[in-house]
Amino acid sequence: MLMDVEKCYGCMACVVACSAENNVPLDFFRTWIEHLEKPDGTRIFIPKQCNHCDDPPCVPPCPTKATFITQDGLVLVNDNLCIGCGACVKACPYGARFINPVKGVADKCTFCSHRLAEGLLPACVEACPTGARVFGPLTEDNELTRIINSRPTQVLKPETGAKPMIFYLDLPSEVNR
Amino acid sequence: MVSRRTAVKGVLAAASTGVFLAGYWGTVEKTIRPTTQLYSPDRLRGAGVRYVYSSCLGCNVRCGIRVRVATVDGVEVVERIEGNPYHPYNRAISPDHQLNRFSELTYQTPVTDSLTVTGTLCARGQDGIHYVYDPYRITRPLKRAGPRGSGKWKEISWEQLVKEVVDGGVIEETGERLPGIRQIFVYGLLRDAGFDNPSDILSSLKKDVDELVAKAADKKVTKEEFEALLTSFKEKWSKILGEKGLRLEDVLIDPENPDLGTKANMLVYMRGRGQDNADTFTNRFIKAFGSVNWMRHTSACQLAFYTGNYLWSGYYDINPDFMGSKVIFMAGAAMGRIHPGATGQGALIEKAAENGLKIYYINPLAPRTAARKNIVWVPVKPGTDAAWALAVAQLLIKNGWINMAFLEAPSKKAAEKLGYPYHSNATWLVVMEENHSLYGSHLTDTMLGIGGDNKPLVKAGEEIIPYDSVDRADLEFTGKVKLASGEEVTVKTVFTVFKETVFSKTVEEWSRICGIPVQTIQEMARDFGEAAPRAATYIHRGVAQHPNGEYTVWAIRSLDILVGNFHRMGGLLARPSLTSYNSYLYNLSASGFGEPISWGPPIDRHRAEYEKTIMYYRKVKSDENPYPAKRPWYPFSPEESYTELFAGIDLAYPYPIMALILYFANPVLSANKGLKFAEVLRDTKKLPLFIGITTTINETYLYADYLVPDTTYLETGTNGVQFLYSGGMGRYIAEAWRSPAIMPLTQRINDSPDGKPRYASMWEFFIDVGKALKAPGFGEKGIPGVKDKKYDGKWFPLHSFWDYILRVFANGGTSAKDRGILPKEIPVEDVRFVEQNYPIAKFKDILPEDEWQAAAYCLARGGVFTRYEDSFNEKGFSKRSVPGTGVLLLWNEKLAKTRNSITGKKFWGGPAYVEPATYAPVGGLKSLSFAGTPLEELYPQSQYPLKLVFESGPLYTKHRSGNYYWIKSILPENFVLVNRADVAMLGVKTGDVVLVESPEGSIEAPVVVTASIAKGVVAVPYGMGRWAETLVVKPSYFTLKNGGEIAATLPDKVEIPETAVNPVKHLPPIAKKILFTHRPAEYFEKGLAVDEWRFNGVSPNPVELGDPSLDNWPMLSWLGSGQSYYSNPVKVVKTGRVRGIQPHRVVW
Repeated sequence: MLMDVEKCYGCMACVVACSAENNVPLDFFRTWIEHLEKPDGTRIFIPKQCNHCDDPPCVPPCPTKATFITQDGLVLVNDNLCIGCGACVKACPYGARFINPVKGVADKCTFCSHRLAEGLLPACVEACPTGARVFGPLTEDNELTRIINSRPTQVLKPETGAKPMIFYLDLPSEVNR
Repeated sequence: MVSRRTAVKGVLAAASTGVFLAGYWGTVEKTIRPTTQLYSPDRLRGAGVRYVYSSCLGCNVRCGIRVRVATVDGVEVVERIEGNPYHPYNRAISPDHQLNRFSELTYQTPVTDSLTVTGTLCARGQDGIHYVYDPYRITRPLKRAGPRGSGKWKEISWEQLVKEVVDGGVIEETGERLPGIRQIFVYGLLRDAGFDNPSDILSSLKKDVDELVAKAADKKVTKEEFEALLTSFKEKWSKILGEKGLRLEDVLIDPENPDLGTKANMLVYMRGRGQDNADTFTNRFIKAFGSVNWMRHTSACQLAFYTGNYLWSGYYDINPDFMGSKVIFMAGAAMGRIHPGATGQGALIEKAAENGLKIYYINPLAPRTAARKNIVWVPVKPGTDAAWALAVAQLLIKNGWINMAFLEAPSKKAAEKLGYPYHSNATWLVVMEENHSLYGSHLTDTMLGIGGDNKPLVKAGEEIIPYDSVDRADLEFTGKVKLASGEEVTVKTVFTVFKETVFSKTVEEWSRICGIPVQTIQEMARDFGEAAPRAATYIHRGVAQHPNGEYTVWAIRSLDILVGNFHRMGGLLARPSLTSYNSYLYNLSASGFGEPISWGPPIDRHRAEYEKTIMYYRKVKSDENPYPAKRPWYPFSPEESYTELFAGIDLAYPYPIMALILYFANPVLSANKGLKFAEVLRDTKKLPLFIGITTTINETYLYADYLVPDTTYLETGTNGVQFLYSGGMGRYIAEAWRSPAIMPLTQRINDSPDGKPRYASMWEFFIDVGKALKAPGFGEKGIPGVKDKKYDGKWFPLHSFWDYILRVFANGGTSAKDRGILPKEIPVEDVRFVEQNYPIAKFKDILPEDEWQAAAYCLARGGVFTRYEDSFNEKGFSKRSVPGTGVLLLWNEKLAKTRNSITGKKFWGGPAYVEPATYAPVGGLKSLSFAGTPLEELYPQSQYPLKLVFESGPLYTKHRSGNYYWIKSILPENFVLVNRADVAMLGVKTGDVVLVESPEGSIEAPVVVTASIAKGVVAVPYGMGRWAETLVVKPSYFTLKNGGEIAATLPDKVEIPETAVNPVKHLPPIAKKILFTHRPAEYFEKGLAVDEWRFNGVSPNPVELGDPSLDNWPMLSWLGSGQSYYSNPVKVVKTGRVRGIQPHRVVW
């Protein structure tokens, strides 16, 4: 996925779309927007969520192997195996996971895998009025990979070694200080 | 380590999805593994899942939505709301088209193909699910069971509601008798008294009234002569009416002033959030009743913006086709809020971020993104926008960046030769002789004695000649001419007068007034001038809703006139055109169905001239000074006013009101100092009957006598065809269609005679009241066929909402088909889709098959839309008809001749910077020539150094979005935004609780210190501070210097039967758990508990300014009565208390 920070204007359509599409309980967020401002008053909104890392730190600690990574790179949770211990929540360097108070299992962005199965886009990508979110397989030629291959992009906390797979355009350097 | 992935098109472990939901297990220990059950096998396409394309009502923008409804445990539940890819505001995206979200799906795309494509949709639209499933909703009719505002309610039957509204009722608990509206239904009185043709009687009466008014206007008629004419008028009509046992007082509101109209005018309908077809339908009822008082909340929205535009163009809703623009001045127009809304603005922002557009964002609050430096923040002092506009105008003129050829064309003929379908009056001559009776009027051939046609004159070369006799005239001229009367007067071209205004200050001086640096103004002017005509101003409430708002709007719009960008690609546009949905085969409009004639000024005196009333003429004939009038009159205001409605009721001016029907509104909270309205609402003498039609009981409905439960937009609420507002993404024709996604959750009252289900709602209320009155246009002979069309002479019944709405869609679809927008052969699959998915299809048999198919085609797409590319002609002008008069004015002679209703002084007739001031002078203080005392005189900077505004954005919509719980999770409680520089002197930091004190009182809130607000301005993110939403929680955040008594009268608790609230009860437990999670269980289990999320935060409105020159009624704009929200002088005071604000909740 690609997040174009300069296009994001903090309308929260994606946050609510995700909450509605995935039945996210109130006050919990699978995706969220961080709100920063520069000293000159410039406002910056940065969408964040699970980065579906290529080397996810959340997978090894799981005692029941409920959390796993799929062949095409989605990091997911099998609700039937999860016992809600919270080890993965602690392990995630991005704070992307939480224990769902309704289900009692670990919860986070799934890239709307149920929609991907129907050939649709994640709800957050569809809802975004400005086109700040772009999604697609990283190994094909598409709008996403064309940007990644032609323009400089950034990731969050590259130093963790998790290999996050969400790429940002114009991510302010202050965020990764 | 995971190896490089191969592309996979979606083979996933079935158990990996997050869609399986646990059964709700309440107190079970977390360590026990939850059981899982399938919510549904296929949430998106499975059995029991259906989709409806409709239109959102989260705000007023009318985006499209696609609603997914699922059947869960036998209950239909709105599960998801997405955008409509057919709608130009939502625009279409799909996996291979995610960037450049600029276009919608081709209109002709089969609807089944559209399901794999989506439209974008903002947070409010998505959160609409909470709008429907709101425990505080009332579902059954209520009547007050105590004094007004006591919060005591009892349930009554629908039949009792209708009966008492029509024929009067008694509040048993207090013994009060309430009148019924039948006693002022003059048409009915005449008919029931035995007059065979009440309409003829009324027409004849009006004819006599018009003659009386003409005599009153005649200066040669003396006072005595007029009184004699009035006496014989009264005698004549007393006799006619007396023959059937009626008196003049039964028919006329005021026999001494028969031009005020019939007693039917004593019924007022006012609506807050209205859209079609609720608007047309309710207007139709009011017209059937014979009242002139059908009103909208426009003063609380954009009335000063409308009136300001009306002055220069003759039309009111105008904003740019920004997709065609290169440079935009976006001023007082909230990012994420103003049309085309948080959804539609996405295109604007993406275009800017892709370097396709530069936006100067002129606003005390910073834009939400800089879009790669293409959105430039220009902080400005509230209320001073005319200053930067005139500074820019100065630079455009100095640098030759104005469209001389266009401005020099004096007539339509001349302009057409240049390709323009309109022209300006820049070259027309104006009499500018001080103190002359013709001051401000255009110099005409009649005045000069060279003709008799009252044609404005221009100067061309050496001659002064009629405007339509040359192709080009002089832009600048000052000179003296000799009138036919022999007098010599000074005349100037309009452009000369305008230029004098523009150059009356230097750019540096203008800069100091508005706080924008000279260099920024220069950059703005250069960018605007060089991009013209693909440069335009995009403006709204922030610049307009001030006392001086209309002049400000005009000053800004003069820039558009100077560059000639009107009605063309990239320039200013009005609204898209529409299908003939109100009247094509069936006449569903508010006229032509047998309604009686009505006359008289509306209670709020908009579009009415005091100087044309008998009461005025009477004073003049008696040599009395007719000024001050009791309240101002607003001949230039195109729409209605909250404040003037309530002031009118309070003063019984121009006449008393008997009954108010208020729909989907909250004036007490929505207006600046709206609490003042509550004084009137509580007064049963001034307002004997108050009926509310609403989904919840808010701060205003608290005072109602009767409450009609209403349906939301996802049910039958506000169903029909929605026009789009100005700009309209440039589309030639564009309208969104709203039909039910689910059937109503309100009480099922009965079935219509032909067996259709009827649910409590606004629609069925007016139908039953109309039928009880036997008013024209209701019942068996309800809806006429349109003349010269296939149903000419035929009548159709109106017994239920379905009878009306199906025919609206038939009109729209058929007219679209006849215009070639729909294919000649309607695809059967599209019709089938609607029949399988849409609740409205159950009633398709109301229509013949061909009409149903045309309607279904448009319903399937959620509206009718034409492409951008097809919306402009070869010259780049819009295909829509030219809005307004077709003459763009830099001087309005009618305004120059209009007087301030209190002082009697004439208004200045051109765009100008005028300080915000009261309407009339206060005390012995300095005053403006045509308005009152400048606010900075009244409230010096030394006492009130800051300005209070509120912030609108993509999250909350006025005060009716407190139930958007997913949005609440993001921003649960608001605060006051303060600039860092201002807090340095105050010594406060984020989290400190402060008092924001205005001359009216103070509000208390925590502070958020930010650099993204202009120095000298404080702002409250709008939408909170509620104290009544079916339940009442006494507000503690504001104290008032005057009028605090109303707050003191609020009830401690509300008594309301559980059976009449909470349509959420029957939802599956899991749905409630997700929708409300940790909210108090009683709130959604019973709907009677207080959920603090609905009552927290603050609203700035209670302490915003009143006008001391008008008895402290809310401050308004002078010409349009727009609520003045943004000119509030305040100071901020530390309280010493601290309120924790979690950093992630600091967003607005």
